[in-house]
Amino acid sequence: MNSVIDPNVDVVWNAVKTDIDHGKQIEHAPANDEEWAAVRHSALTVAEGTNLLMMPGRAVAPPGAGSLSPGIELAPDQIRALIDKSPSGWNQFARALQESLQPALAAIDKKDPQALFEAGDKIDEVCESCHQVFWYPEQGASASPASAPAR
Amino acid sequence: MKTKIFLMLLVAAALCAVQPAHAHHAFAAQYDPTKPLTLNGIVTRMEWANPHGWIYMDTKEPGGKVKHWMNETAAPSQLSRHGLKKADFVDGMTATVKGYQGKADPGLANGRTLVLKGGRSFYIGSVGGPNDGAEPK
Repeated sequence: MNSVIDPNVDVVWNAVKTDIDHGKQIEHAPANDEEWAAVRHSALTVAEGTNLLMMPGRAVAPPGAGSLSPGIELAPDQIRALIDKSPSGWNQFARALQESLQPALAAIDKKDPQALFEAGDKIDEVCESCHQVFWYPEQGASASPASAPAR
Repeated sequence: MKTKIFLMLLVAAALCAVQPAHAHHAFAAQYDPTKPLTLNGIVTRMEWANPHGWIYMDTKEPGGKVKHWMNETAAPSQLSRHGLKKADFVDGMTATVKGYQGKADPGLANGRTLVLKGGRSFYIGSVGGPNDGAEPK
């Protein structure tokens, strides 16, 4: 996830955005065939990476890797246990991620920045939904904060 | 070819230097739900981007020193759903962001509510934040 999916989906997300700097809107989008090809490469890598996610028994992280946030996010062996408990649920999310990449790939092939931006939102929804089940399932509403100091 | 690879690496390094972490960590992994804050200041920049937006603000510390803040927001589609538009971010605008302090970076926060000058208020919270009543029913 950290080495294949995450860095490549970041490329897809970062390909199109608006930077509003002191009120001035600066649109970012792939500017030429090479840049579109680079985004396509990343989108396809994520889509194909989902096939690796669905490989039965495949390690979810390199040996020795632990939780990135102990007590909040699960460790790889805990994630593996959840996957083994519900392989069909895991595969359903992996397939949903694969399917969410299709509109992105179509947008890239049309060189349509707005469609790619909208596709990125759907990809995000799938990622987050899966993370809430398999990565940090215990993280729901937690705090009832007091009134905050003004700064 | 070598030049192209070098340039690509250079661009990638530059992007890594300025991009906030985009991984979908749990809210509590990055932000402290027991440390709410209210920021009053000038919005200098808004990154309207997936999977999160970022509102950059300057606030004044006691003594007058300016502090720079990065406030994570929900994805742009969510912001739009709650009525916020790119055109709302104008030069020199003052605003209030209510949110939660980041754990690792003292200038990082997770925004829950954005109030613009004039009183227009928007829910900007991302998924997984505390159940603090900020989210509209």
